[in-house]
Amino acid sequence: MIWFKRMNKRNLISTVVGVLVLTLISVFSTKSFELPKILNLIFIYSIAALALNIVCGCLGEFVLGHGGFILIGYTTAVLLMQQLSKLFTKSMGKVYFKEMLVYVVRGGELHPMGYVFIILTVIIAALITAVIGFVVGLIALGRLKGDYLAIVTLGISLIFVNICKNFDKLGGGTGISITTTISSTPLLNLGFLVACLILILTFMGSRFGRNILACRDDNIAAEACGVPVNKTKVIAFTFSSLLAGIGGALLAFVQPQAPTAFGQDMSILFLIIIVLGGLGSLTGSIIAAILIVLYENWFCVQSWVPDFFANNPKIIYGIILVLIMLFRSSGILGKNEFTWNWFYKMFKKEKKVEVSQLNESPVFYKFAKLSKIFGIIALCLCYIPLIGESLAVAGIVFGSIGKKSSNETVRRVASKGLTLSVISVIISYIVVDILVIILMQ
Amino acid sequence: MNTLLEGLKQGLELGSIFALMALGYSMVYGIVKMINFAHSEFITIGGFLAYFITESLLTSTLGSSVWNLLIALVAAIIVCVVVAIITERFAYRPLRKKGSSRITALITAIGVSYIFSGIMNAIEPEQLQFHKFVDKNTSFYIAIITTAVLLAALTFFVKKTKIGIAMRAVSENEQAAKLMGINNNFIISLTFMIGSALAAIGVVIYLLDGECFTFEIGSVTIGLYPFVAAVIGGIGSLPGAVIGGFLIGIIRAITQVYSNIGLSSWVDTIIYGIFVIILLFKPSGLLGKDVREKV
Repeated sequence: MIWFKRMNKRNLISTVVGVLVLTLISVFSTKSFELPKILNLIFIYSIAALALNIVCGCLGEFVLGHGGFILIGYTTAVLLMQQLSKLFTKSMGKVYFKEMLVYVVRGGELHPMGYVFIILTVIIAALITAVIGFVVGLIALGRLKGDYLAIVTLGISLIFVNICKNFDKLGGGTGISITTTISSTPLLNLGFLVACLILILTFMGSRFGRNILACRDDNIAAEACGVPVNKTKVIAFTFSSLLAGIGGALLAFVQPQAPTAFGQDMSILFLIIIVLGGLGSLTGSIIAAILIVLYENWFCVQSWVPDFFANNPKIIYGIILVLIMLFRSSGILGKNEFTWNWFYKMFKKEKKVEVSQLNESPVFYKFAKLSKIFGIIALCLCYIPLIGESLAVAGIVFGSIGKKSSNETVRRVASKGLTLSVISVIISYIVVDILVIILMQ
Repeated sequence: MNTLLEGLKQGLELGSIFALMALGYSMVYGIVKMINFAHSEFITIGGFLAYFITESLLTSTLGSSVWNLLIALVAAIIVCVVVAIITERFAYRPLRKKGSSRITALITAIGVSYIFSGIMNAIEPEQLQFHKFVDKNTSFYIAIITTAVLLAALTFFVKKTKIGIAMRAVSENEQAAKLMGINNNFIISLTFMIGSALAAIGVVIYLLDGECFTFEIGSVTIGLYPFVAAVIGGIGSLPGAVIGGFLIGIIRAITQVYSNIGLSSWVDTIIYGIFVIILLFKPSGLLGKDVREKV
């Protein structure tokens, strides 16, 4: 856990505060109707996107068959829950267990033992998915590279979908779902996301993680340095399918779906998420997952958005993919992560610029400084509807003007102001919505 | 269809159609080393256009004669070719110029295929039925003869004409071909044109005997089978695409023959299973070249 020891105090406190804020949001979100579903999907999609990013971004092997593993996790979780509920209502005569299950079945507040059920189911489903992923990785990763691997994994995932479609017990045409009205709360999904993140950070910081990164850059050089390339690829693939199994199992408690929904469309949706966020960047895929879930569930259902967006998701996703690949093929964050260091550097003071030494109009420097000040103020006051937004917009305008300067320092100040204003605009929308939801009930 | 013989006949017909479409995948991969996922959308566009033109011409004096079909075929070919050229010019060529990795090109191809699929869905989401021009027997002979003729023409083109030799040169070594005075961009566009023209012909022959189809014909109904066929036969090799096409067509038809024991719903598993097994034992396909990786 060396990454844990390396974080300095400020970063650690920031992370803990962030997780606490998310926890509070998740706990209070149950009061609204829409918010828990969106939060659940955000957390679940983040886990699945992280899984795909490990194989595609960190390992460098392009895998199109992600939907198949999520399907395995989903189906296993549903079958396990069905067997568990049968087990407890049949054999256990104890009133305590039956009452607990009835409690859980009624869909009310989840009894603590119900949490244990869900966690056990998810872990077992994830382990089964990992075993299947191990087998698939063993037969496919050793011999195939590049395009062929993508197609073969796509084919394998389609085989899984086809098998589940043919057996009614496993899904059939309409899909199975958890018949007890047990549903997981955003808090549980957040817990799983935090646990998965800790798992991933530990794994990637260890010897296995470094092997994986070495394989991405150059297979042959890695082999020459003593990295067991084939073994590393299989390990990475197994780990990725473990996480995909967790995501699929959690999905079973949130949203029932037919097996055909896990085919090509879902694989390509997660591909879009990690490409948007940046291949190899873990925080990038989380941010992109948030964007895509918000787009699908919040943006498309708003009344001021034309129906075109909701009815034709494929066109928009296709356009996003093509535009990203043509203009910024590394994604939003590229290979970098979102670090607290970057975040706090926004507020630091820059070196002083001698206005008389600038061989351009001093307007640029003034605007850049103003935009940074406006950005910081907007970040603090973003929830006040009119003032905060106008400050942020002014910050954006001044910042974009200031960026046209020829002095490096002035440009840096302007870009900081621009980033701060944009962040404050985004936060103002989200925070206002969440506060409204929480305080209104 | 209930007998094995009928199944084989249907398989040969389907196989020849798949072979035509698989040739498009193979040729494009051979030249630019990129799997063109958007090819399935070219198939859909060709099918849709042929449908709309035949429907509108049915009421005119041509009625359901052969000229109706030929005009629709020519129109479908032209539109498919134009779409292919536009795709290549605006989506693939900037990436080639930038020197991006193959994964980037693959992802862009998936994006383009999504865009076209979404547009087709928006235009006509319901199921359509193509007008029945000929019955099953005649369509079988048409399919086989057309495929044979086109294959012969293509082989002659690639082996004997100057442009065909230029195509083979570009697929072997792009830089050397440029030094020899070959206009790479033109040759690549030409390859896309030929591939999509073949796809348009293939889909029109498929729809000839009054098939029902939806906007998913390229991606689901026919879609991935020519792709699998091209990869099985060895992507980049023309005879391989043909062999793969016939193999997949026959397997598909035979599973439909035995549909009374429920085998037809397993057709996906069987075909992808064979696909995976062949690729595991011979990673570059049946007739593909095994390229050694140089350090």
